[in-house]
Amino acid sequence: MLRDMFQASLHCMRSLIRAGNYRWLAPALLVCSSAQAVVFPDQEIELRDPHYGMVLFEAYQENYFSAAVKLLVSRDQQLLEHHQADSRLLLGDLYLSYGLYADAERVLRQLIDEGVSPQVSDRAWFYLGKIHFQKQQYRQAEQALDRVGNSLEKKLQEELYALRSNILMRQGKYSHAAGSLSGVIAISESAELHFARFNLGVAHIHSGNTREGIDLLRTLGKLETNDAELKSLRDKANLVLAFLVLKRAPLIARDFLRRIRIDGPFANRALLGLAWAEVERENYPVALAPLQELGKREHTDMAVMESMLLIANILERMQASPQALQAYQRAVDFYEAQLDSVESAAQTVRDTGFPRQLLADTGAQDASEAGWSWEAGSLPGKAETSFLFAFMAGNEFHETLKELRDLKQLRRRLTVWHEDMPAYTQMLFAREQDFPARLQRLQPEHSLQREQELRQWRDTLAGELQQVEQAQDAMALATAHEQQLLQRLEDIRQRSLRLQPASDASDVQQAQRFYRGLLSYQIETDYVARFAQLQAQLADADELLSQADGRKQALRDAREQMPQEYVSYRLRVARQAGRIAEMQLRVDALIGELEQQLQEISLRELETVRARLRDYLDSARFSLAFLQDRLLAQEQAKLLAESQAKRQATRLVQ
Amino acid sequence: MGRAAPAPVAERRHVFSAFAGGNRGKSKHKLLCREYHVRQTMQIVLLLLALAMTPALALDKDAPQQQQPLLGERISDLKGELRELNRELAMLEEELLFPTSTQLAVFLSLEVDDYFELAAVKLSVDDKLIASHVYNPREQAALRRGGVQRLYLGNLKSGEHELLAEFNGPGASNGSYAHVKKITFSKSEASKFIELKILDQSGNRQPEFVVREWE
Repeated sequence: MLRDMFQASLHCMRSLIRAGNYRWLAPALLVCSSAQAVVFPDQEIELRDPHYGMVLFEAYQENYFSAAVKLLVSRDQQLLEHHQADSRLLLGDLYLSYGLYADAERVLRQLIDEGVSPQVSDRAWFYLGKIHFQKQQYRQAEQALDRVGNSLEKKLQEELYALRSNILMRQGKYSHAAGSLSGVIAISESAELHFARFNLGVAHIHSGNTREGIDLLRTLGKLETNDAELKSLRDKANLVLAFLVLKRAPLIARDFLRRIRIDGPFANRALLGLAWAEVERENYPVALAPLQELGKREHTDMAVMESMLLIANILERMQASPQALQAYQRAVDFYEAQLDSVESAAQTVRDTGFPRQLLADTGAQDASEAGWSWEAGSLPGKAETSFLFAFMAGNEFHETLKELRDLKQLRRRLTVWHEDMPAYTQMLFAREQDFPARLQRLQPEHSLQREQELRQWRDTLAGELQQVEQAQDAMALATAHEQQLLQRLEDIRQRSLRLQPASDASDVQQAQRFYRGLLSYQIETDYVARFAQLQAQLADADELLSQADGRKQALRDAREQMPQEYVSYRLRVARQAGRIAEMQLRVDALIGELEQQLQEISLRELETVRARLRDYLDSARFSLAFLQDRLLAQEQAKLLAESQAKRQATRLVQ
Repeated sequence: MGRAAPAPVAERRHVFSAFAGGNRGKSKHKLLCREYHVRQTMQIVLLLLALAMTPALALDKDAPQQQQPLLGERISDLKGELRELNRELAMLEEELLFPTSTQLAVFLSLEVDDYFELAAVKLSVDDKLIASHVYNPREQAALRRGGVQRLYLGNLKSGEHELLAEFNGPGASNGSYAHVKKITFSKSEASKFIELKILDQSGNRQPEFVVREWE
């Protein structure tokens, strides 16, 4: 049950982070975090560079680090020419999502300063507002949001209103915050606005504007929704309302508490609240029912722990003294056992650190890079984790865990790079060694000589074509077949002349002249087309020669520069290998510090639990002793009365 | 863990004395005080429970903030440097392994309604398998939102080549769907980018590959 509640709390918190991630230090808020949006908004643009889409593919999977690196590499390789402004805005958003606020601010300010379209500018100002909010620079955040115009995408507008409301609340401007929300709430019922409404309600209560706060929370408390996150928010609102009015109006508090789901993350507290509401009404038997339900739930939950004492207290009020005594004794035994468990848990954490299996998936290869996506796949049923469930659903734990996940992912990358560096070195060495041999095999001198020959040949053909043009000698452009025909016709003419005296020779000669004329006519009329075709072919040859020239030059350059390039690459690889080693040490050190921090805050949390158990135990023991003493006094008084009655009876007999 | 037997009268008195100072004359007053104390303690704690995810959050909200500027800034700085290092390493890798003169990149994108779910893709060039991928839900969602996957990055010599792409996945009405596309393309001295877009051109719920060669 507690695990289910924990998962529900975790899911709720993660959803809230997705919704807005606005740090809210008032304890009434479900969750707060300093990390930024986990759900990356859709980029509504026409894709004109596939590498931009490649970056989006990573961003949509919340692999913000990989997306940023790919974007930077693609930009350096000039593969994002059609998305220059888009890619810079995207980079700012990626930095923001990954928690690199200084870099995000730098990129966005540069973008704004250079003058961009209103859509880009509005989005940049919006992100700047988020950054300042995260850095608790509320005045600058408000100023940044004031620069957002009318071109912000619709899906970001609701987030804008919610963010502005939170910023105003942090500055104590509650009425302005309400105003910021009211207009939008009337037309939109998005999750972000409900969360903002909750924040505002609690802020009003904290600042003494109880009526306004209650009105806001009452609206949330009646929210009709199928969304799991909003259901949790609704439960929370009803819980806050219930405990606000518990003493003054327990019946009303009971109504609020009855709206809370029995299987939700706030069910235990609601059950305890129901019991208290009935206690306030002195309706003790009815108060026992929710406490009996609580008794079946996870014993490490604080509400369950408190219910043990409350049951005994109620039985005492009902003057069921024997049952009350038993209940107090049960409570004492229970708290003593729990204290032992807490101490044992604390010792385990001191000896071995934060439960390792809970961090087992941090930095896993196929996990999303977004630290907020962590899910506790399995929760070990050990004391040190059971007592820490509530803490693990909280903001402090998740912030630390996110950083830990990020660093472990980065450490894994560094390990891969570290393993690859020797391969690159070896590859460069092999290429360098092989280069002279490859050059020799290619026989570039042979190729270069051949290129010269071909160029000369081209020049010869160009000269001939020029002569043809000058002389308008169409017959020079006759095809081989035509020339063959012409030759045959000439042979026929010669033979017919020799056969002159023959009777049919003149017919042959006429035919020959006719066919020759036909052929000549065909060649002459085709002259222009043929000449143009040959010119085009010559131009093609020139193009190929030009390409060969380019390759020749590249080959010369390669021969001269390649050795130098190999040296340059080797130096780069060596330098990067050194940097990788240095980074590995730094990452390891920071991971150690974070794990240490996690251990410390776990111990602090366990100490808090221990202190509370101590209070409960003292109360239980005190009550037990007092009740025992009272019963003893009653028994003694009864014995005394019986003794006196006996003495009187004896005197009478005497 | 059994319950202890009730202590004898003398010990009970001692226990009572330990908690209540041993003055029975004030027992009624002490009872009221004790009840009030217990009730108030419990209600205060309850209220804290109601208003906080954990009371530790309320009590210790300042503690992480005090550490954050130091450790948090160092982590941010380190992440920034790691980002630069990764960028340089990625550039070096591409220059060494995939020089522009021989580089071939094949991208995959999706523009189909929800009735089709891309399960797997296979890619061959000149009858040689060069890439295959099975999609997880995150990747499917990213493609559906307009992301473009770089399915393959490798080397290819200049000239004419044949590309064979096939995809499959569950389609409409619980059936499965598969499609194969073959194209011939020319590789020059420059990098070659080919995009395979899966879309339902005809509108008949028959998604197919449409090939685009990017210049």
